[in-house]
Amino acid sequence: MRHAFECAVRFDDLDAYGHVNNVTFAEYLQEARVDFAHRYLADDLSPHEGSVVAHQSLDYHRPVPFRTEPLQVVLWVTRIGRSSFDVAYEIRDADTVYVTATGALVAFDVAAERPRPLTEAERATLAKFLEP
Amino acid sequence: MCDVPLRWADMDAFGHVNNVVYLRYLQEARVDMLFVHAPEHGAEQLARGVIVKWHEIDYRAPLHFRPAPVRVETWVTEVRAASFGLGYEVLDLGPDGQRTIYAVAASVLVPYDRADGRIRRIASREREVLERLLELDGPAPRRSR
Repeated sequence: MRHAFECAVRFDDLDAYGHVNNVTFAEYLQEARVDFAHRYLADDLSPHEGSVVAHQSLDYHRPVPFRTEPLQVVLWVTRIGRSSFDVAYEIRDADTVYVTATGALVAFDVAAERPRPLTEAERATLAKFLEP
Repeated sequence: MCDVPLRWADMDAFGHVNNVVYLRYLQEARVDMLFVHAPEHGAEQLARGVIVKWHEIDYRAPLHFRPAPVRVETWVTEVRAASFGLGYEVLDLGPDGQRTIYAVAASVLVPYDRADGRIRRIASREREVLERLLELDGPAPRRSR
């Protein structure tokens, strides 16, 4: 299963080239990830149980000029470890893929400021989105 | 190298500089290198446009807001016909020269002509300027897991 997030493009996401800036695409990935976490993971976790980004890679395929139609950010899980998991993303619309990306996320105890093991509930949820 | 000031709003709800903002620091350093310094050495055309083809970043340590800027070191990793690679380290340099690394990253960039909206090849003058900044054995953002 994949999670699809509708991401609006804001006018000030564009830079001097009139395209969505490269940094802003990482923000779109984050919006999709946060939406995913709130929708599927947050209910089973305490507020101090979060996750942090350890690694990411973005391939920029096509520029995105200003548009009023939202973009789709599609997210799925590619690996589930003991205290980390990997995700893959596509930023696209019906016809075109603009960006593909991967991320490694580490389950993190925000209060203790250190990594934590994934909970059973988290693993079960992530497994539903697993497409290695 | 480029000293990039932090902003209070760079931090997220976890009280760390947000992952996205690290890419923004890379961009500040890249713009300083390619659009400010490279033209002074004869690669004026780069300032007409460069687009990002690929980024990879490995986050090594959290950053918290402080008044002092963070240092971003940027170097060239390769120069091809119509693209070039950059490597980056985001770090603090201690008084004893000790390096605290917050992130290691790499990009592939493509020269772009803003006037006609097309990518273009690297001119020989630009190649010379970029090759002076070439460092082949710098750190790369390999996954530590």
